[in-house]
Amino acid sequence: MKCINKNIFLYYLNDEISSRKKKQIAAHLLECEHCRKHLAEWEKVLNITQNYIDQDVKIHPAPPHAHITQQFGKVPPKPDNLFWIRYWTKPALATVAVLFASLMIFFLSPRSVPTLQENYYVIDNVAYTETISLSDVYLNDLEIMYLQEIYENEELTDDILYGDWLYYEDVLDNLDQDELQELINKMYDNSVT
Amino acid sequence: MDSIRLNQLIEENYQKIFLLALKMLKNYEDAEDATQEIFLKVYENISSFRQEAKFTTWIYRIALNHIYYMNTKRSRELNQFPDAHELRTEMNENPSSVLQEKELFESLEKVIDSLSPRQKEVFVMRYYNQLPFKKIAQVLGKSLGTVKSNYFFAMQKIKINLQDQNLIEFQE
Repeated sequence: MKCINKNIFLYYLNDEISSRKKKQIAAHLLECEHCRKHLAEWEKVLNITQNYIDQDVKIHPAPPHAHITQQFGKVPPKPDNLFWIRYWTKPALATVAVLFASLMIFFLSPRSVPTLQENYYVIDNVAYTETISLSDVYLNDLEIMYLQEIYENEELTDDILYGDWLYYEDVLDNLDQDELQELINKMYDNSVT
Repeated sequence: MDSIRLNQLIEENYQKIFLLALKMLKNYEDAEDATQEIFLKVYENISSFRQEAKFTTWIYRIALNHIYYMNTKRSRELNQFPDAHELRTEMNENPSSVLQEKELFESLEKVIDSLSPRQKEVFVMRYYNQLPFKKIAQVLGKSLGTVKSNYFFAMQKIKINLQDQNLIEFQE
């Protein structure tokens, strides 16, 4: 004979199982002494707990509260229209705040190329390699700028641009920091004007 | 809801909410204050409450929220909980109580205090407030299964404690 899961006795005693299951358990209990002992254990625990609760409730009557109910008559209850304010204020404020922050970020964010100082550091840090995508365009501009310096505002033909390209890349790479800074300053001035 | 019906509902639930607060906060004065504040909240917000059938669920939800709020506030202020057994030893001065029974009840009190907050709220609402499991599940916004398992683990803790301390004899 297979015994019932003994944990179910707690629900059985609390009348928290289906009537079909209840009948099954009752039938099993008639035949199984082992399960009857388990049931008796839970019965004992529940009785002791209930006795304790009864006593505890008895020694803790409700504190005097007549004054509170009297006071209620004087306090005007909140008007019903506050319901919408209470439940919608926070989400509405949060939405407005998010929209405002997004708009501020959009309007205040820089539209031009990164500032000279930032670009300079980027260029300096990567030692003018072409691996940093952010500075690629800038680096190309710098090279064109350098070519313009060399060719003294002659029109930069494709031949000059692409023919001497590799050579001037090398030249640019070998500039020291002061020379590079000077070039950047000039370029920056041009871009501003 | 008219004020007579409201007062009637307050009268019916006052002690139950007080017991819930007392068991969860473990301090008589705090529980008294909490109960007053809970019912003031109930009164202030009664206009936003419409379905009378669920009044108990609503009031218990307000109560539990307030109790947890007070518990957090108090633990932040004091950084410690008051002695949980202070109250009972002060108030339980019944000379006729048998020593063994007193020992048994003290042990029960300790184990109830040691329950996790989730187990304790279910236990208190089941025994002190005599709410059915279904109602407890509604109040806590949890499934019936979760509530029942919390109750089971709470009761199992009590049973194991009683067995370990040999406070009740189980047949072998």
